[in-house]
Amino acid sequence: MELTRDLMLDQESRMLVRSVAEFREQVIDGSAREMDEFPSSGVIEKAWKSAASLGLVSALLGEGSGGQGMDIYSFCLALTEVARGCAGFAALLLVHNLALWALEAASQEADEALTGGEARVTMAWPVKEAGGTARAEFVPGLTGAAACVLPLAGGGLCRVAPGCEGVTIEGIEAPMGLRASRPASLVVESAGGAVVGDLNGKRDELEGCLLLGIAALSLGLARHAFEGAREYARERYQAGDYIINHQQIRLMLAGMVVGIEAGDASLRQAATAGGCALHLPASRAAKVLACDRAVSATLDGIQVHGGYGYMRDYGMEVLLRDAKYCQSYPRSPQEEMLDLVKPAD
Amino acid sequence: MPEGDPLLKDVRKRVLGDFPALQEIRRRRPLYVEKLVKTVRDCAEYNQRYAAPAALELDWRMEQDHDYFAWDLVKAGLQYRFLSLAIPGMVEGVGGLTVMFALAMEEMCSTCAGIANIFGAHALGISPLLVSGALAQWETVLREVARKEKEGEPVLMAAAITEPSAGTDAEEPHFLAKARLSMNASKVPGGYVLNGRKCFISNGSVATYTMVACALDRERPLETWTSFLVHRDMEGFSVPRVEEKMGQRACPAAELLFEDCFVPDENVLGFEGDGMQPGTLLILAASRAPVAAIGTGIARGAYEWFLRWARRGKGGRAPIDEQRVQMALADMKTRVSLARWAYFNAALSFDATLGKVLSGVPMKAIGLLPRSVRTSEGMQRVYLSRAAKRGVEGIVAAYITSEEVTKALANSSLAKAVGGDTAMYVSSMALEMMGADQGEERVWVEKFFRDAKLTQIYEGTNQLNRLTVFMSDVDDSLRVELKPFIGRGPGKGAK
Ligand SMILES: Cc1cc2nc3c(=O)[nH]c(=O)nc-3n(C[C@H](O)[C@H](O)[C@H](O)COP(=O)(O)OP(=O)(O)OC[C@H]3O[C@@H](n4cnc5c(N)ncnc54)[C@H](O)[C@@H]3O)c2cc1C
Repeated sequence: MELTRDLMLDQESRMLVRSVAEFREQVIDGSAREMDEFPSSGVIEKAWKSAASLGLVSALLGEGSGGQGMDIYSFCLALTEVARGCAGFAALLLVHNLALWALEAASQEADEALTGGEARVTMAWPVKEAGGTARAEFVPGLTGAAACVLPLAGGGLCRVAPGCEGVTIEGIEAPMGLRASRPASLVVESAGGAVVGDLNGKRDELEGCLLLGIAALSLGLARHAFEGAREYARERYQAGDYIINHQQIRLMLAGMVVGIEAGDASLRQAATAGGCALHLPASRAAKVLACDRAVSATLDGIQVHGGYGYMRDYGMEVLLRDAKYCQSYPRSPQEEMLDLVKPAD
Repeated sequence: MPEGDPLLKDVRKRVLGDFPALQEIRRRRPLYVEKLVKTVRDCAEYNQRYAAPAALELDWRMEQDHDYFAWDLVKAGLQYRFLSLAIPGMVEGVGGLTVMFALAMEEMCSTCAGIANIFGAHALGISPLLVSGALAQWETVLREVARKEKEGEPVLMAAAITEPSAGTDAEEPHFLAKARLSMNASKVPGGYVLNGRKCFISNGSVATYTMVACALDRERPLETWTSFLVHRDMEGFSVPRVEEKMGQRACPAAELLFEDCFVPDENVLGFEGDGMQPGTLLILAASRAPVAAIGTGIARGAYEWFLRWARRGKGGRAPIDEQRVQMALADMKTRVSLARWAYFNAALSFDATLGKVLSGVPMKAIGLLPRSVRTSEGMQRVYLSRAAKRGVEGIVAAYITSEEVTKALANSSLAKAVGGDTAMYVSSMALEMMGADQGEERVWVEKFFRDAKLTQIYEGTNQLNRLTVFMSDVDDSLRVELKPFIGRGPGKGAK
């Protein structure tokens, strides 16, 4: 059974998905378990270099700035494919690309080290500002990043480097999910002093891209859960039959299909609505939907595997942990939803 | 415990508030209710003193080194007699039944389900000895557990039902009949030889005694399913692997390997062929309510930490000031209460069966015999005789009916599904609402979330538990079959 999204891909997108799938199979799948572990064993850095050679670390950056000039929908297709192997690594790619995109939007030149894969940059979102101090609770990719950009509420873009005065990074010890992204918390004193430019009215677009990127990660997790569970259900024999022949199991698998189909459709709609200028409400809706469906798909992915699903070796439980983080990053789904319907003045 | 113990007072107030039915029971049986309150109080103290300070660090440590086992935390539980809560008073145990154990599980799991499950899996290991009325093992094994506990030495137990190719199948008679099993026992002079593997066995790597249920004839698994008591020093028994789990890490889940493992005749619990009907079904009727309480405790723990987060002020405004958070808290509290009442009801309905047997005249009479007589070799031989085993079955059949135990099985199965789903729902909702906020509260809620998922899987998946409710309470295709006293032939599973 092919999912509708895969049937609808044009030639170019099909090739993109295929090449990222090859990268995933060769580089990510075998080391996803290690990427999820602490302390780091170097697999993430190795994979980063491979991703760079494929152009994935500068995907969103304009061609004029040394990037691939990929549109957000294509980038989401790539992210989904990477997230099928490791969502944490896909999150690294997402925040790095968005940081480069933000620097470009603020008319900043990106260093070659960042576009070429020698170094990583990340983006803090949402940034809480109080009395000149900026704070972000959960910044994927911050541990080991060469720099971090902070889009401020007023449109200014702040850029800081770890180790600089007034910049504090608090490592998050083994978070439950998106561990491969090596997240940390960030506090920047006198953030105003580190502003390097202005997002020039593109803040909403940046937020929309972040939300769609997380939706793409979630859909990758849901796909992995679905494929893994379907395969297992065809092999596992219980109660006198292969478990895929029990209606309850088929309903769980079907629920995953419904979620993925709906998630894919709303992601596509939001990413392609109005050409380049992203429709932020649609991105919010797509993000909330995809993440919710991914949590439910990954829960059922474990359940179909029974006790085996709970064991780390089977690679199912990590999907749930990652999906749960996607659901509440950058904000809780309720906060996203409350922004969809504004209160009366 | 000092007079006017403030913790006891707090716990009494809380327990009577959380379980309104206990207020009525208290009027009739004040000592019983006080014993329950005292048990919960001990669990609360254990949580404060030992479990809470250790839980997060231990969880992390066991992610790095899953072979580690926190014996110190087990030893800390001995003073409260956690290892003999379920052991009958006549063999020096506390003599608590399912209600007591379930209440203890909820309380412990509100702090750490991994640590609690060490005691939970231990009680699961005891339950086959109780439900089979294996008086010989009561006097030897259960007395040893209770006595050594008083001496400060933990003796742990486990129950091994699941096989690599049979999880759901090993917990339901219709499915067992069709199972493709990998393990079996063969009759040899003086005993049996066990070959094969069991998997995911909680406490399997640390237990001194493990109840192992398996088929004598893999072509007729249901008819020949038999329970054996295996000592960890028996030749041919080994633990090749301890699993790396998503949560509840403090309690190890192990694979057990049996290679020509000889088990003597006297270690058969009940009769050959009794392993599923009524063996496993009685165990599940007894154990699913406490497992439902595990889910309830996890949900409560997640709720309590979420509440702390909600009250934490941020720039003068706390999340609890928001209506969405208030609604979520109300929803969580409601579900925890419903799950609690479901497991309490189920536990009560099981105790109304087994409790009647244990407090019945014949058992009381055995308990009145001098200990020297009960523990003598001669008496051991009597207990192990076919006539005595049949006598115990007769006592059971005289005091309870198949209908009552089947209803208890249905109640505990529905409670188990509710408890597991509640654990997942509440911990999941808490995380969702917290967004990407970091901090101590989040770390705890994440642990509850990871711990919660297991409660939908073990003790039969929630799907199986629902099927059990359907079969036993909707279409009557599943009955717990108690053996009639008269007319029972030789072990029907024997070849
Ligand atoms: C950490 C842990 C600790 C455990 N501790 C113990 C222990 O101490 N002792 C012990 O004996 N066991 C223990 N177990 C095993 C546990 O009871 C089993 O995992 C559980 O019964 C499910 O069996 P399974 O894993 O083989 O899944 P399966 O039975 O293979 O089930 C796979 C999926 O198929 C579904 N399914 C199966 N049959 C049907 C059907 N007829 N209709 C619809 N759906 C169906 C299930 O619901 C599940 O979703 C433990 C398991 C874990 C994970």
